[in-house]
Amino acid sequence: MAFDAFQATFGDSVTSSWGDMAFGAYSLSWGDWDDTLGEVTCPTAGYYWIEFTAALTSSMTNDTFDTHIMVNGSQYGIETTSDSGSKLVAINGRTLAYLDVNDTVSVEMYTNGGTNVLLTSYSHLSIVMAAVPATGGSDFSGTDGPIATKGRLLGTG
Amino acid sequence: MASFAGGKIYSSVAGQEITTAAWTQVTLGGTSFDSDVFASTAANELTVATTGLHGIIGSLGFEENHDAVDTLIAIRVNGTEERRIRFQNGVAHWPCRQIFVMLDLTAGDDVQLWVYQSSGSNATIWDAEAVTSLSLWEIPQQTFEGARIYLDAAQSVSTGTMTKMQLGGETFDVGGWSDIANDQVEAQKTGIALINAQVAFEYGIDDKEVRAELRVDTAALQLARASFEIGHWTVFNVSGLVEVTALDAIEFYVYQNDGFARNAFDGGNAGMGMQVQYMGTI
Repeated sequence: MAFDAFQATFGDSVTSSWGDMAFGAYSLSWGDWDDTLGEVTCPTAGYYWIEFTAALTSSMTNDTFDTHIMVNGSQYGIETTSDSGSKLVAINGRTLAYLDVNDTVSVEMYTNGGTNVLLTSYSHLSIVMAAVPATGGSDFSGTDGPIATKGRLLGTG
Repeated sequence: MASFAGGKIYSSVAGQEITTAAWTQVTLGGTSFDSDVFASTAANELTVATTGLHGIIGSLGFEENHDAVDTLIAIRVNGTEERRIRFQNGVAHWPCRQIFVMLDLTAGDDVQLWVYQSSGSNATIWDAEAVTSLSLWEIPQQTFEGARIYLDAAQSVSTGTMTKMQLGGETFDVGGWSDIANDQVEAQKTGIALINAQVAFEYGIDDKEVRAELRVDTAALQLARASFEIGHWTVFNVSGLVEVTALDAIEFYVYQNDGFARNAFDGGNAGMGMQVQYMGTI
């Protein structure tokens, strides 16, 4: 059994309309994750921890910043915050989900400030297999696994 | 039986003062558990044993009643910030939040918890194991065991009352951990469990306080407290890496003090709910 994981920065801005966050540079991709237009397709069925951080580059005042982790287009986890004092808020959503082959994961965001708000380089999405049987053999201990830091390195993250 | 690989350290000494408007590393002098090579309490950090992907939870609280205080909690690796959360509480009594991240780390890396606050005066760290801590774990080499359960009908939470959430819906269960007949998860093995729960109110509980507790065998092992200034909805997560004993009840309690009873959001996987993963023996 392969160990699968995907991690990328967001390369997008948050608007007053709900929308999937597009990806920028990749930190890593173990497994054949297909990503287009902010939606990632899972290559291997299993249980995954999905977490993201999203940090804004400009402030909100009396606004909310809302986020959804989406699995196959349905909300699977929510994180939200608000601010009354012109701060660069940053939030961290997470959830544990079962993903089947070809299930999709995305993160949609919204702010009601009336202007687009950029995300900083602290903003990442990670999808990491929650556990891997030790019987995974070379997939686990060699080219794909969490023990050896190998894989498809596509960016600085 | 597979062994857990990781560790958890916590704030064990009263009185660490965080100077206003200055980044400060959190002092973490107590060890909750350690699979032998991770904890380095003398340096207030956890050291990576094996190169690869790791999970990290940083949890931090203040012994202060913060109102409109800009607060940042960050995970640093070898002194360099990797991830942060930043929030402003309304009127939280002793606020407490967590950051939960996955990072690709190299053997020997030092993982640290840092904090910043701009209240205008010093703020004291809440020195409790259930509040201020740093956890690090390797991806467990075992078959997945655990459960995801959720609130399956709207539940009224009375104002000012810590209330057990009636988690009667189940998304998945591997290994018999789900115990939805009792609105909880029941540990099936002794060892370490990774727990995340989502607080979700379909209201803006503005400038009031919402608290969450993860309880194991009736003890509150992980807390979170937040207050939103302008709540669209009031939603946040509470996460903890904790020790469990087989047959322990793992429960999710929530509190709000809006002055009225408020319905918790029964939104299936999007609403109030809890996820538990068994991580192995310690």
